[in-house]
Amino acid sequence: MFSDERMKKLREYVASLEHPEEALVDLMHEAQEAYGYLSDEAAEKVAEIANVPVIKVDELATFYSLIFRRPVGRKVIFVCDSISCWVMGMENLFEHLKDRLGIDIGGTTSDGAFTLLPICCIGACHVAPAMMVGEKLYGNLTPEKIDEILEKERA
Amino acid sequence: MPKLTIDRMEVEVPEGTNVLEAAKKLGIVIPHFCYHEALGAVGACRLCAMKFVEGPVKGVQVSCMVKAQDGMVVETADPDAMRVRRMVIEWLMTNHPHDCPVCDEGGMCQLQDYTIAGGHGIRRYKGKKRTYLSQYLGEFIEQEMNRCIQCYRCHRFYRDYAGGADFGTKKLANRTFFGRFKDGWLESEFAGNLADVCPTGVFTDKTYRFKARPWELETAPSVCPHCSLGCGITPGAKLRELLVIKARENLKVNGWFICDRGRFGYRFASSGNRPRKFLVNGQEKTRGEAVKSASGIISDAILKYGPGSVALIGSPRTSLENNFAVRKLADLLKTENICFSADPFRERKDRRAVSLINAADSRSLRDVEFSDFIVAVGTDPVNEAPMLALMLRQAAVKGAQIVVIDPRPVKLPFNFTHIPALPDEFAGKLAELAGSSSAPAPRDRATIICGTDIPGMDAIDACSEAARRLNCGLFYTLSSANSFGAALLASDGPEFEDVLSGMESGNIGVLIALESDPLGRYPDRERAARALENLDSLIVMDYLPTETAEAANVFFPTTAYAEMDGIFINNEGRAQGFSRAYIPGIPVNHMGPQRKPPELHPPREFFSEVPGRSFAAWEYLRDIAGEIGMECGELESIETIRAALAADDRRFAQVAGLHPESDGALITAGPVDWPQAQRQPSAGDKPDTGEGLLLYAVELTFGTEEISARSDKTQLRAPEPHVLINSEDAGKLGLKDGEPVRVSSGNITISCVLKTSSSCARGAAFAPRLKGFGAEALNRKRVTITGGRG
Amino acid sequence: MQLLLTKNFHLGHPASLKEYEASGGYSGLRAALKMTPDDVIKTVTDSGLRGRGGAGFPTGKKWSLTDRKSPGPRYFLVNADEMEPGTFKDRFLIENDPHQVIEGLLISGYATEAEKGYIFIRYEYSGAARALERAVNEAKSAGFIGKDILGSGFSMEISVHRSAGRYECGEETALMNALEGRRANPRSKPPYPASKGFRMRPTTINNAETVANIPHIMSLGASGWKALAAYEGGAGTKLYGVSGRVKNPGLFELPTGTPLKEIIEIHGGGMRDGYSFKACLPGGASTPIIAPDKMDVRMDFDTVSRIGSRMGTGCVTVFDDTCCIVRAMINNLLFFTRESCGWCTPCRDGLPFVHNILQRIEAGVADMDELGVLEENCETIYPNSFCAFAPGAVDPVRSMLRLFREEVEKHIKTKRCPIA
Ligand SMILES: Cc1cc2nc3c(=O)[nH]c(=O)nc-3n(C[C@H](O)[C@H](O)[C@H](O)COP(=O)(O)O)c2cc1C
Ligand code: SF4
Ligand code: FES
Repeated sequence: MFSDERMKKLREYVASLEHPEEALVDLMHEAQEAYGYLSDEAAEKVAEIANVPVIKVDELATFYSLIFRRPVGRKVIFVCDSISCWVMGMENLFEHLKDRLGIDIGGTTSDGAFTLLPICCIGACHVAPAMMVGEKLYGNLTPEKIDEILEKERA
Repeated sequence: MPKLTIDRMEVEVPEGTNVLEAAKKLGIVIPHFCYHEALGAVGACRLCAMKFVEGPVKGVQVSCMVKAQDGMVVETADPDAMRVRRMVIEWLMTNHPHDCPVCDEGGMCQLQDYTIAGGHGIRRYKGKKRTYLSQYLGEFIEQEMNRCIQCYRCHRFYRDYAGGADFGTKKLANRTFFGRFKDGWLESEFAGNLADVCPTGVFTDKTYRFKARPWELETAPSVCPHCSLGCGITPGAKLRELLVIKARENLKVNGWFICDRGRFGYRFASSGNRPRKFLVNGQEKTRGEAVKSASGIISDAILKYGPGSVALIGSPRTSLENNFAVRKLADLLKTENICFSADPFRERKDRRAVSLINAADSRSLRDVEFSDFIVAVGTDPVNEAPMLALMLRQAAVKGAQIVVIDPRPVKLPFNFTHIPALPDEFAGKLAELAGSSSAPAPRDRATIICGTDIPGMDAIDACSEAARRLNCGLFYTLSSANSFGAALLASDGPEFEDVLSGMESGNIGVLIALESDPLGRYPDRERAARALENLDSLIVMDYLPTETAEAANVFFPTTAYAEMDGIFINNEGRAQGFSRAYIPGIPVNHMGPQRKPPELHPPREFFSEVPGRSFAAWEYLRDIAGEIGMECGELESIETIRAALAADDRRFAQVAGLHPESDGALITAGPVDWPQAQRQPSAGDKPDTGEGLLLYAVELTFGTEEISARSDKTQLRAPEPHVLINSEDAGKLGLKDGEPVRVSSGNITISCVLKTSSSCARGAAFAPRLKGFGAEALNRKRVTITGGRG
Repeated sequence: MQLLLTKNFHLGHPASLKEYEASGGYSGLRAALKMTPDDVIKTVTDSGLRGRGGAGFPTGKKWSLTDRKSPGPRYFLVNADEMEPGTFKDRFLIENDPHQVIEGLLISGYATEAEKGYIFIRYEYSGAARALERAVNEAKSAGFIGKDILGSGFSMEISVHRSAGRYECGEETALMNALEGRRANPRSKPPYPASKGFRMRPTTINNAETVANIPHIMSLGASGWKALAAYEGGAGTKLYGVSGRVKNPGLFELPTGTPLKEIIEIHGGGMRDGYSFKACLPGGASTPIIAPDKMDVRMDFDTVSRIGSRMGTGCVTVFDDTCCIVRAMINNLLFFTRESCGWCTPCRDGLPFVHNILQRIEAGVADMDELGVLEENCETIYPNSFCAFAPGAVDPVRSMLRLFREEVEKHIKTKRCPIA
């Protein structure tokens, strides 16, 4: 998964740390970026780089919401389901997305393009309802706008 | 010492005690889940709420998190506190399955007890219960995660206390899961304690699963027979079948926990091949007939050839009382051919260690936990005396510096300094360490630990000498549960080597072996076999199906530790009593041809003798003496034996009134001058010189110890036969890790797999004493290792 | 009014070091480095600054508690986890003016004699994190970060840590665990972070907005900054946010103590046409509801507490008359049950109980007894959890039972939601 060069860099980075465990979250992000999700193999790799038992990686990976231990689509659609978005009609958006993507919350489209997940308030309440596709933030959503976004993001 | 008032009673407790413990001291036990004496307070379950009425802390608080302070006034039964406790239970029960009828924890479940104690009865939560998929964790521990109440004890024991690295806490919120990265055997040698620390039925003893309800079990306080440390245990049996071992709190020895050898090694006791019959020349006889036959043999021999023609062997794995009876019978018969071990090489070192220990130096297992500087010489704790490793870890966690001088690739669950020296370098390395500037100033919180398996006499002496000189503690590990007691009885007497020569020369014609197995334990098996063949008669008493038992002319089935009252003296010199948990006999469960339910049904009354009933060996010895016509009132009962022990020998003065649940009595012999124990190494324990790697036969946690090696479940964790050498040595020999090899010396060759390690000493090879492997025969021999199958 | 925190927001991009310095940036640091740490702490104490993370603890007092006697290292942590639903102030602050937080952190570090600072930011704020990282590099090149800063003899390093998403990471001791690479469970106190925090060393932690105020306090002086408040006794400016059913949701820098009514009706543009104000959460999902009768409350920590709520983060979520208050609380509890760290029973297993009863009430299947069970749950969870997460989760529900009891009971009596 990591190139040899990247491995070397990461090993050096960890070696420079007084407390290698502090790098675990960074390493998990790295591995996830390289691999799409934190597979068993990736978790073991992270553990190896940080020189910790793999259970320590798993303990963190399963704690955090943004580390995926199961495969996800090429892009993850995070729909904010917290209070300001809720009051602005988030529930309808979810229905619309489920309908359009043909999947339930937590599901991945059959073409592997999208995974649909809820997310806690993303600090975009002023443009609620809001969602993120990957890192990209979209606000003031309407069903029409969502259709446009899906088309654009699928490309 | 803060003084506080709990429920209108005053109590004074040591600084740092929490209020939950303070209340306990008054006999007020408030329900709690996450708090555990050994694991500490973490305030997670929130169950132990009390009302703080006066003092520095006010209001309803969880009492485990509040340190007792002067002037506190606490009400444990305040309605506000009671309401919190009831709600906490109600919350925990929202997800807990109602599977108590089929749950092994039922009847000893803290959640059951505290649900009653907490006052929660009617379910008000109408939602669905959360469910989990459990993991496969091997054959020792069963997991049923749905029962989890998230007290975090398992994690805190496994990771924090025991230093395990393959188990932890996953996910969060009410989905929090405790388990491994993937399915598979728990790796820690202490994993079995999960069954004890888990307050509900998430982790249960798989070997005991579905076999009994706790209230059906016959139990008694007991002492583990599987190594010399003498940890407290509680065996549980039902219908004559030993079903389960639990750790018994013993604050002087093991604390709260035991190792998996101790927990799961019990299955020899009810195994189908355990000898249950009295046999004379292969024919089943009654007890009386066997006694008659044995006494006939003995009197004939004495009549014909004199008392010297009879020899007796006691055993380091049997009780002090049994060994005393051996001694007594020898005295009555007036024979001097008596010894207490069939392995003279290990016994010699046990005896030397015992002769060196004195009350001032001797340290208990718990003392190890509170040592701040520890040097361990020639011992691989996890493999030789597992609980020592757990105590060392506690010391390490508290900041102790730990140095291990041992040629093996010693693995311990904490950081330590490993000096991979060979046994003949031990004394030198110790002297270096004791003389170096980094050595601790003489102080009593430093402890020297010394093994007695691979170290030579010089290392054993050096450790004692260093301990005395530096004024620090001394802790030897010995070979068996009662090695210390056997050594005291043997004192300066002969050893098996002497008996063996007598047998070879034909002077000895009758051997009485009590729970002793010369064929299996004497390193030169051929020699032992020839000597036994030379006998006129062999009388064996045992509860294990040993090779020697099979060769017996007269055989008496004896009782295992859980089936008798007795005393073991542990490595420290602590005499600890154990009590009979159940009457031994063929388990009811084994009796029907197909074990159909009718046969399983408990008989309500015995109209006849218990089938397969066996007795303590001392009873047979007494009967034999009586039959021969000798007076021996001292062997009348366990009490008379203890009284006689105490009267005969002032060292045993305290055993007369020994209570099994007491701290035991500390007995030390030394330092004493036992010339026999000073005997210079004979050929058998002097390492070979010359070419080749020097092989040491070694112990493992699982598979080598005499008793547990006959338990099916612990055998599952015994490795395949192998020899372990340094990676570079292997490279030189052109051998690779994992390849089949032949290991030979002279005309002895054993075949196994090669294992290599970079952290073991060069020039040495280590082969475990696995049953049937034959490593013992190569012990301390120079061996050549060549690739290929045997 | 003079804009301080938001004065570079008009740029539309993260202010560069140049832009930041042009607006007076890093003059606060220069001023501070000429003072003794004790004097900096005194200035902050005198300024009356209170923590913007939600609890409003006096910042100067917190700093003075830091153990500066025992030998270092000491740490200063900036909490930019911002996961309180309804809150978006730290995002704006960092995305628009990252240097402000860095300068604040340097001064805070100087005052508490810390040698290393961490900015703990949630992963979703990737733009903000990148802006911060860029700014840290700029500041490093310019000699504001590193050894012997501006020749003062004071040295400090700064790292940005990107988390991986969990609300509990924002709790200060959980944050320290998270930063150490452990699960973000909170720690028991004592020991307090001031003596044993991150890596068991003396540690001070403040919210990003709190820290961003520090340079301005240094520049304006304690009394100059303090006088910016909307009322006598208040202190400085505050970022107020408005979201929900208003015409002009957004973030506004206003004098501390600006009345809630003004924030909603003037800055937030008032309710959307045709709808009326029903209720609001004044400072995030864990703050008790404010009903119309208390709308003129002044938004400062003490005043809002006095009417039974909390100012929290100062980011207001507004509900109108079409909103079922029970459903709003169901949504809130969904968040809290999901995010509970799972350490203590009241939170882990009590909140799902609360959530379930709320759902039953809303679905019209609960009976009046269950209302009592709901209340008992909330009242028992509130004071008995390990950390402040669970009280924050049930506090809005408790306020609902006080302020909107009739609406709740109507659900039960008519077996349906009276609003939908
Ligand atoms: C569950 C929970 C979550 C919190 N999340 C945040 C957060 O995201 N950001 C923050 O600044 N403070 C958060 N806090 C408050 C912090 O614990 C801490 O009080 C604050 O960072 C101190 O900074 P201040 O004194 O500047 O307010 C949270 C507290 C709790 C109990
Ligand atoms: S209240 Fe308890 S379970 Fe909830 S976040 Fe705090 S410690 Fe964790
Ligand atoms: S509530 Fe959705 S972005 Fe804040």
